[in-house]
Parts: sequence; C-alpha cells; structure tokens
Amino acid sequence: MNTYLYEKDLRQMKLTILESRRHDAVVLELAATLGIKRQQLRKILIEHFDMLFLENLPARCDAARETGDDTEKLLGIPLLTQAFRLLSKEEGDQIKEQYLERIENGITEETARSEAQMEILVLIRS
Amino acid sequence: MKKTVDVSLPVGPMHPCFKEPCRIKCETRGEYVLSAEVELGYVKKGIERIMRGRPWQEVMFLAERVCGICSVIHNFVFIEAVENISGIVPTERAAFLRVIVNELDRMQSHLLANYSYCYTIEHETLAMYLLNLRETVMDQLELITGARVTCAYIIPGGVRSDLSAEDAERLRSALDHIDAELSRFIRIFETGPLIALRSKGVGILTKEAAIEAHAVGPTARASGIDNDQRSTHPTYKALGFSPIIRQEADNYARIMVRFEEVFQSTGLIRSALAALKEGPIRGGGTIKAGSIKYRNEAPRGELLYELTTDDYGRILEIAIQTPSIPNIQVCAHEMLIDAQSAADITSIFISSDPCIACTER
Repeated sequence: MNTYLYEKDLRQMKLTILESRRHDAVVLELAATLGIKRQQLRKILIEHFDMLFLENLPARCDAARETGDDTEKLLGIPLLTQAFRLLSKEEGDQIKEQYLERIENGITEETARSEAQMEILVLIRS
Repeated sequence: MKKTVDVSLPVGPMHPCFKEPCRIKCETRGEYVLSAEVELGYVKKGIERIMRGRPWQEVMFLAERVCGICSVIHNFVFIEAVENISGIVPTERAAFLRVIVNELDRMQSHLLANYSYCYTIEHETLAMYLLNLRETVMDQLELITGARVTCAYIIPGGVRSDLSAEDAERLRSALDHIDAELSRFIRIFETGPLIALRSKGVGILTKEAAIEAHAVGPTARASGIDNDQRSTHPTYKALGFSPIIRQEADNYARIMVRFEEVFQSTGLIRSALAALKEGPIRGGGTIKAGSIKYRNEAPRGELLYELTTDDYGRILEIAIQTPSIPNIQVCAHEMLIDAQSAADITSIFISSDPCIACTER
C-alpha cells in the first residue's frame, strides 16, 4: 500500500480501537501466549493492519478459537494464522512441527514453548 | 509492451453510492484491484462510552440509536440481554409481537440494502420500486409502534403497545401487497441481463474466507454458511424458523438471499399473527446485577451485546459487536481483491450491506 501523509494520524485511532474492552482482551490473550507486553503487540498490530481489520479482531478470534488441536492452541497458532494473520498457515505448521520434535528429543515442554515463542516473534518482526 | 502503472485509487469518504462516509483505499493495476484497505473514523459516536454508568432505562434508548436502519434489533437484543440477567420472561403475546416488529424491521432493512445495490449498478427503476415498497413496510412499523425508526417498542417483560384486531388485518393485507409486488421485482432482478453482468460471478466470497473472518448474516449465508441466530431463539423456534442459504457466493447471491428473507419474514409475521393469543403484553420485572454475552440476528447478521449490570439496574460495562464489522472487513480484504473492474468496487462493497453507523457505533 502507498502511504499517505495523513496516515500517521491513523495511529491514534487504531490505538483507540485496540484499547476498547473486547479488543484489549484478545490483545492481552495473544501477548500472554507470545510472552510479550501488550504494548509491543499493539505496536505490531498498528503497523500491520488497517482500522477495519483491527475492529474485527474479537470476532476473528471467536472464529479461530473453534479450530486447532491442543498443541496449536497452546502455541496460539490458530490466533496467529487465522485471526491476527501475523503468520502464514505454513509457518504455523512449521512451528508446531519443530515444537513437537523438540519434545520428542527430550527437551522440556516449557523450554520448547519458549523457543517456539522466540521463533514466532522473529517471524512476526521479519 | 506498454508499461502498466499501479494506481492507488481512493473511493470515498464521500461517494454518491455510499449512504455513510468511509474511505476504501484500493491498489489497482489498470482496472484490476490488487488490494484494498478501509479507513473509518468519520462518524464515530462513542456510544458504548456514553452508555457506561447509566441506568438501563436510558441505555435502552441509546441502544437503538446505534443504527438508524436496524434500530429495533438493538432494542431487542439489549432488552433480552438484561431480561436474561434478571430472569425476566416476556409474556407469550409480547414475544410474538416482538418477532412481528423485528421482522418488519428486517424487511425494511433488506429492501433498503437491495435498493442501494440496484442504485449502485445503475438500475434506478428497480431501485425506486424497492424504495417505494419499503415505505409500505415502514407504514406497518409506524402502525404498530407509533414510530418509523427509533420505536423503543420492546421493554423488559413485554412490549410497549398492543396490536388491535383491525391493525392485524391491515398488516395482513399489507403483507399480501408486499409479497405480490416483491415477486414482480425479483423477476426483474433475476431476468435482467445487465443485472446479471454486474452481479453474477462478481465479488466472490469463499466459504473458507467467510468462516475465517467470522462473516455473518446474508453475506455469510450467500456463501453457504448455515449461521442464523434466529435458529436458537425460542420464539423463532416455535414458529419453525430455518435459515435461507445459497451457494453462489457472489453479489447476486447476497441480493437474492435478502429478497428471499423478505418473503421469509412475511411468512414469519403471518405465523406469529396466527399464534397471537389474547393476554397481557407486559409482565414487569426488576433488573438485577449480572453479566451476559447475548446475541441475536440483526438484518445484517449476528449482533452481540456483552454487558454487566449492578443491583440498581445500571450498565457498568458494555461492548457491542455489530454485524457490519466482520462483513465490511471480509468485503475489503476478500471480496474486493481480484475484482476485474474498478467499477465493481462500489457494487461489491454495497452488496455486503455495509453500515458505517453500526461499525463506528
């Protein structure tokens, strides 16, 4: 998308959307899953998406919560790939596979999860 | 070979085809639409903030002011939400009267949406016919509730006013007139070759994309999704309601779902009139403290009210998720992408029945 001069003015409006009750709940949920502060996640969302997408986040999360197995839900993959669209489906599958591989190789679930979180953040920020 | 230049094409915020202001920013290659973004903020009301801390008697009136087109359903959902918190059950007669008024509201909303679409594709004759027919529906709303738009008809435990036998007869003959006229207009829509050119195969929304974005209402049902909150509502269940679903997933399907739902609404009103028994229209009750997530089907789709009340009947917290939010989002990010002509941008957008007042609430 081309950027317009007035677009920087939209940042405050996007933040206002994300601060509302239902939006704040889903942002907190994903921030906790990723192990980052909600302010950091808000910044990522404001940079990546238009106002309408942000407005629709709670409904998208409702739809995404109905999909995915337990491992995917633990890593927040349905939210990241379907609701927030911060990762592609292939990237989500890859992270899940690597997480399962690590556990098979004897790494503790907690360590495997934190490594998966790191990978997710690298992908989101790249 | 001639160089193709990518063009950023802004549509709106003021546009002859839009009823309300919003800006669609499209990236195009020639006529082909590559991507689209929607910007809001032109008519933000902040109504949730205004509602917070106020007693339900005030919030009830504010709720129906969220949207000027589908005000009855906001009144309906808010009152049923506080009724559910407080364990209030409406009287049987009031429950059917609510359905009658709600379906009249749905009819006028669908007719207005289809009018807008016909106007957008430059079929002004059919558009004006539909707008004229909508007036018949608005007259019925006024007949029952005493108002055309902000009716404030539904109150905890019942409804505000009764329907006399003469008024019921007037309503029945109006429904016959609507059915006859609408059949004629649908034939015009179905057989118009130019309408088909502008509508069939345009603005495709796949079932998967609709599910992912939580698309609702006729927009989702035109893509083969069986999602209608009326299916779970006790009064609608008693009337034998089943949703209308189509599979084409294009502009044509979305308009036809609305047309078919107008017929369905006339049928539901006739059934409700037949089921109306003599009895009180107000049951009374006191609003208590509690929290709820309550949803019902607005003309545009699922409407969700999430609210918390206290012992004095004040609304401590409230969040409203209107159906236009997911529908406009899926329209901008799925339906508009790959549109073959820039002229289709407005028709695709209008086919999703966008309501900016609802979206910006």
